[in-house]
Amino acid sequence: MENIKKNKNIYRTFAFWLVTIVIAFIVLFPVVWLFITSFKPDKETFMVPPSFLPHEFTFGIYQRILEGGTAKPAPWILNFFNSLKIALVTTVLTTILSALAGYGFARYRFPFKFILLLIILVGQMLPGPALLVPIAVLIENIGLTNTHTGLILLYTAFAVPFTTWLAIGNFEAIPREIEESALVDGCNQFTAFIKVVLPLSRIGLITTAIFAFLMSWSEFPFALVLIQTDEQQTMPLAMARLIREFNVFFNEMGAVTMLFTIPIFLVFLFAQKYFIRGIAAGALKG
Amino acid sequence: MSKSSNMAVSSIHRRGFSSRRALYGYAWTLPAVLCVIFFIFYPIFESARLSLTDQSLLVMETKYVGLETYKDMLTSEEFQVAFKHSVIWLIFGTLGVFVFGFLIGFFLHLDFIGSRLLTALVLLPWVIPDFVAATAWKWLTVGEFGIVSFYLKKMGFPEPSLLASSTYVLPTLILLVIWRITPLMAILVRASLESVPPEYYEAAEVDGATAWQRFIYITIPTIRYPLVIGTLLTSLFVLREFAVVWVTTQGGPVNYSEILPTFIYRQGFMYFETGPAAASSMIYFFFILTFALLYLFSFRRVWKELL
Repeated sequence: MENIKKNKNIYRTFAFWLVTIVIAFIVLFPVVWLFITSFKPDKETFMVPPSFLPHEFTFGIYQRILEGGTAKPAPWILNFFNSLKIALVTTVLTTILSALAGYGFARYRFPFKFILLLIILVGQMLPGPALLVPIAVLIENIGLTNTHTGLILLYTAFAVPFTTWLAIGNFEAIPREIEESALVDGCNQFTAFIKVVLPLSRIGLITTAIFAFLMSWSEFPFALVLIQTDEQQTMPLAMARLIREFNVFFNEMGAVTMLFTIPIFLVFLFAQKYFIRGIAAGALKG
Repeated sequence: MSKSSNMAVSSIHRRGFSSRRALYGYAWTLPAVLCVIFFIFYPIFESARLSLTDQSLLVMETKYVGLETYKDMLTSEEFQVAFKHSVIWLIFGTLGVFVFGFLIGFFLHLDFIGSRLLTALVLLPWVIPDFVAATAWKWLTVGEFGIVSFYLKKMGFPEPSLLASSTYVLPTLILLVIWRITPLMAILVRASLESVPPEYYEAAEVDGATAWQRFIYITIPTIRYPLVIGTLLTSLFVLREFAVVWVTTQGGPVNYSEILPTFIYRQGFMYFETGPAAASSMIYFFFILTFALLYLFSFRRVWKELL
């Protein structure tokens, strides 16, 4: 009897491991394969049959990228810092705007509040690609075509609906009595917000910041439409351009992809908890 | 000083509008709302206006032609193909995300050694940018040296270079989208399963319910709201994909993988036909809106009780 039970447990454990490995393989393989390729010399990328591990392991591709890459007008490093700058500024702007709006919606009653909330909600649902044309016209009209400022404003506008939604939920979870005692102690509403409410909602703020960063770091269609010169290109643009060239070197692609994805992995490792919570909260409330 | 702050305290609880409080409310919320109106809503109206014109950046003169552009689009074969692909894209993409997301989410919910690590790993396809996902998949299926194509060819598959095949390019890209968006659904399912109170299961077990009965009569009814909303959310993500197609095939070969977003981009930014591109955008916009409303309407029993 004991033995049967033990056996059943072993089968169960085995089944779980099997499913785990299958899922992990499907999820990881495409990315891992690209990563492995980034250590192969050029000739091995065109080898038939493809070998799983490189015969000749090399860091040369990474070196080539840092020196500028094959047939590329602007160095990768420039694209990298363009992307980083845009993502960081967007993150700051988004966090500020959505914290203010989230607090306003959570604490104040005012005429047309419902309409304003509806605008935020619908703004979250609209698909970017359907707006490519009019947004390009708009950005052209305000003279921000081919500038990072244009992208930053646009990314902020597209991140704000979702993060405001998150922020409303966060601030509503904070008891009003805490601010009220701060008000009694001589704070005004704004200083109470800065000194008392914000520190209490830092988890929500971190979630907001992560979303804004990831979104603006990897955005592609708007950048494609609005950026025209090589010097202004973000990483996604420069990479997409490389992959469409006829003789693309996938080892180089792999290496660039890895360099590009490392900040994301770092953010993700650092904040996985917030991330998962943010997704769940955003969807369950929205 | 203290008197005025006391007043502020009491007005937090007041139900009616006081004009000064209302002004504060606008001061907090308007920066974000105006940003959204200016960059998201205004463009829609601009798009609506442009769609009534025959604007082309290659021709100097632009005139209003009413619904003529819409008629041209709806009757053009290229548009119809892209539209058909978008419908297929939406249906199979969303179904795939739902099925795999639910299965994986349920599996992640079962508490076993490594479940937390797997939860983190599973998010990877969704965390990486869409065009990185697209690059990785292109590298799997390119020519003869892509590793998947290579083994497909070895197994005697007729068209191993999937992205260059007129038959398999769309299914492959839909699989890629499913691969990419399933993690979102899986995490949602896992989170909502976790929110089912364990007492429900305990009570059912006392009453002698089998695991299957517990699943059908407790789990599903309790998590149906997140399931319904989560599926809508993921379907909107499926409809938003552009880079996945643009980076891999640009809608090709010919137009076998053209979906509306790539069609709109091509019209607007490669042919510079602004009017037609705006009209297609509006049609796509209404398509999404109709879909979302129909969806919400058919599941109204689920979400209405939560309002």
